[in-house]
Amino acid sequence: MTKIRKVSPDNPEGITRDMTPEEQASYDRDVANAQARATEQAEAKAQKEDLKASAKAKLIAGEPLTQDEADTIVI
Amino acid sequence: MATLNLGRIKPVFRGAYSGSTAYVVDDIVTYGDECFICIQAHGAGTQATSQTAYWKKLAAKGTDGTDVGTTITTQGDILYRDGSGLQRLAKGTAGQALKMNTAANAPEWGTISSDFVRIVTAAGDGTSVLDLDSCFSADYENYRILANIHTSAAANVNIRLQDSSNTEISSGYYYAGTQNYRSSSASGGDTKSAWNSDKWQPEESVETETEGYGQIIVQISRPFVASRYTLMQIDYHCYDGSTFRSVQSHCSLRNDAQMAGFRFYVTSGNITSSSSISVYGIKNS
Repeated sequence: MTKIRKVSPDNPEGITRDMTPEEQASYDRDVANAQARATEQAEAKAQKEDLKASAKAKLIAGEPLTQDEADTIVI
Repeated sequence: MATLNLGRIKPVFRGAYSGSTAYVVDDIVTYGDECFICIQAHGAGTQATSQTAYWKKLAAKGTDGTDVGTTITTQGDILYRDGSGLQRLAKGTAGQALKMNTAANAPEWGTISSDFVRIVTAAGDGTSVLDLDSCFSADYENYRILANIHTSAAANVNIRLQDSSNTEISSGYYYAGTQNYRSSSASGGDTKSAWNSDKWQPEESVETETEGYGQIIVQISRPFVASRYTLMQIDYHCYDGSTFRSVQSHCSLRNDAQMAGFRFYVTSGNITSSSSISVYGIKNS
């Protein structure tokens, strides 16, 4: 069970306890969402790098770019 | 041998005046905390000390003083003077300070008011979630959070506000920000933004070195004002042992309920016991 710590002006020492089942379920969703978002962003970043590399190669070769490739080099 | 009566050659103290005693010249008596000398002999009970033809006042009574011992009665009491005399100010309670009352004519115990007040400080305890409950109130319009965060692993910086029931708000976060980084061999930056997110996540996968902390400064505007959105900004930097990161982000929580607290949480590792978060209230007027 994941731990949660709660502190307030009335209880500055605070308490540390196990999450309730509801809190745990919510936290687990946050963790899953964070991992999914991280994976999604990593994939997007890799895809953008691929497109940039492809765009660069096509520019050197004088070939036309796709819209996605053009988007990586046009600000 | 002839005898010559010289009369009294010194006064005689007769104690307290008595109406049943006859007095002669140079008798001295006390009456009403005053002292009198007889200047004309008279019979018992015939002339009180108020009769100036018979008594001359030697020593007049002064103004009655105040018995301090009966005015201040309890350990910690303070003695002061009001418009009529000495008064007792009962001791205050722990943490109170002595100040003047509103009329500026008497001291009183009270809480020192400041425009910038530390409300609470929380230490980490190796948990993934750290809630600071009920730290926002109507007393202050703006709040500043100063945090030194050390995480046990590469972690995301996640923040959520909590409503007046200290229930976290998990929607309505609109934010945008930038991160710049520098390592020994590279530098760069990117943006972090979200539209109607379930949290405010200024940066992802930041880590603090063992000896260091992530320094976080958060400004929160009007969280406890109902019918208004809460605005926040963060200034954050950390060093993970190889890369220095600097993050600035601004967030609007589009929820017009009163917000009473906030939550820091990480989705990997934990917030170690060497971390600390302090919340300060700032008055506008």
